[in-house]
Amino acid sequence: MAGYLLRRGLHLVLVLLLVTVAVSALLDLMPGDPALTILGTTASKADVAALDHQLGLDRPFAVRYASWLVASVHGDLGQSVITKQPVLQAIQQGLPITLEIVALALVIALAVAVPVAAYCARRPGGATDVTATGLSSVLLSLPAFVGGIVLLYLLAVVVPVVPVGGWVAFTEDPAANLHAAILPAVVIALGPCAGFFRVLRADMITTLQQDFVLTARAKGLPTRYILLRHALRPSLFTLVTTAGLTVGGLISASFIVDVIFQLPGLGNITVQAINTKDIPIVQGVTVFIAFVYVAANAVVDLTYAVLDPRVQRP
Amino acid sequence: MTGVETHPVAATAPGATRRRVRWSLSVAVAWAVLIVVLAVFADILPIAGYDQPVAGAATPPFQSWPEFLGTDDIGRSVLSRVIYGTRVSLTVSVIATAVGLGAGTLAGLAAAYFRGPVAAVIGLVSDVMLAFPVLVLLLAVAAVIRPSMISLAVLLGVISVPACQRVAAANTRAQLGREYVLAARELGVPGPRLLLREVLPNIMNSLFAFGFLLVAFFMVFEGALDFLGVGVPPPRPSWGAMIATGVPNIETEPYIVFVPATVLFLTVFAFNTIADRLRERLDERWTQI
Repeated sequence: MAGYLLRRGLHLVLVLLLVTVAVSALLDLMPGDPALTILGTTASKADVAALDHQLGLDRPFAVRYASWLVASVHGDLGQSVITKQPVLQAIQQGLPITLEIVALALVIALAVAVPVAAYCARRPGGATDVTATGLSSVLLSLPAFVGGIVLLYLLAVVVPVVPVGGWVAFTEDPAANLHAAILPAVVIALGPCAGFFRVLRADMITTLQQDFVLTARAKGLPTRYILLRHALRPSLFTLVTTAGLTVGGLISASFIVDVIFQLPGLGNITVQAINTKDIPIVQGVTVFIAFVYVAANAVVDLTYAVLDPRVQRP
Repeated sequence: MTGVETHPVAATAPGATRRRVRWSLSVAVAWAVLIVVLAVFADILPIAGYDQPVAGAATPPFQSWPEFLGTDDIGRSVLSRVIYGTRVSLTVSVIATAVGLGAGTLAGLAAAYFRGPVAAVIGLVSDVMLAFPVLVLLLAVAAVIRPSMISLAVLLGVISVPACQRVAAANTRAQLGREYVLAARELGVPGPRLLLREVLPNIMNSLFAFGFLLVAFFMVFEGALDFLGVGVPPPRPSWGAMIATGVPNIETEPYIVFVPATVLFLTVFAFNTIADRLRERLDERWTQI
């Protein structure tokens, strides 16, 4: 186990290091001069050069990357070129909102997918199963921005029951906070929910054909007990992986609902930073999200190893 | 009949599934063909240009011909714009798929066949690329360089290489233990030739099915970029951008949003369905052998 953990840990560090190099290099390769953007095209050459020097843009890429890396390991991701706000502080402002929506979406998706999949696996090809499977194909083909707008239209225009858009902090008013978060979370949960359903349904059908299920039936155990206590757990492996991999996709999708529902999450912060060419913010957010993504995958790997010791083999 | 079905044969009701398969596949293929034909022949169809006002602003649908889908807020035909929008969507997603699947297949074949350093390097590069928050990064890149349609397509293709590589590698590994591969090895066929001439034709069908899935994925992705305002630059109409511009007036002119949204959804649905059905058929074939 220790050797496995060490190997995974080294792999994790290497991947993260390469991610930061790639992000920095890509942002560096982009044409357009941040100093010119900040000062406007009428700025004099001397002013631009001075600002370049102040921002450190006159140094070679390797030097800039190295100093950024050293600083970021110490928790300093630099500061916004425009507002002078530390990048870490900007991330801290947007992160709770993004995390809440992503977590809520994951919970919603799993809470719907698991019981429905278990129920459908009971009798594959039955009316419920055919309906649910068909519906899952529809949801998987529905882009988040289309689903978001349809819900927005239904709830804001056709049946105006939910106030749409805007954000209230949890500490201010928990009920209003949940109210604001639920619609964006549902929107980004639709696709993953359909994906989870398919994965778990397929695995459950396979599990239900095994002998121990027949034994349980023969003992006269109630169907619900067999489904939830006997068949569910051995069917969960693929679902765990899929759920872990989905976290990254949910974060990306949360950027879109940030824009649709005007939430002050990481998405809006990033879109604003992109429009003003605020490279440190974009760099910080991108690296941070990559970090979360890689960490989520590592957690999935570990869960796997704990659930099934055979995984440590390679 | 309230209990758990434990009998293997009952896994799917064969007759019902087969009928559903044929029916949904034909509808999906018909819609996909229609979309492709509209995109290819947009210039010679009897429709207005996508950038000329043809009637009063914001005419609702079914009021005039041939603009039966109505006009947008400056009087341009929604029908024309949706049809020209298919061009953008199809061009980007098909080129991106070709790039991603092409490069990913070569990398996947190599990763599966050559163990050791080659597989390790390909695996590491894959992991790094998969760790990227792709949408975020694309937003950043697209916002600064405003890529043309082609460069956007190539960019999307490159990003999908790791996923394609994994699919190709998994399929290749499944082939490597088969007799024909062992026979070719015994005969001394060199590695690259074995992979390209023997293994590749055998995994082509699976990759083809995966390709349809990719086209659908890229349509959504390209639509999202357009929706966020960093996709293909105007005046070219694209579905995502049409949706985004219609949102502020959604209360009074919902059709401006819902026409492109419906077409996008149906097209993505069609491509996903084709991919699903192709995969089902392949699975059936393997179990028959």
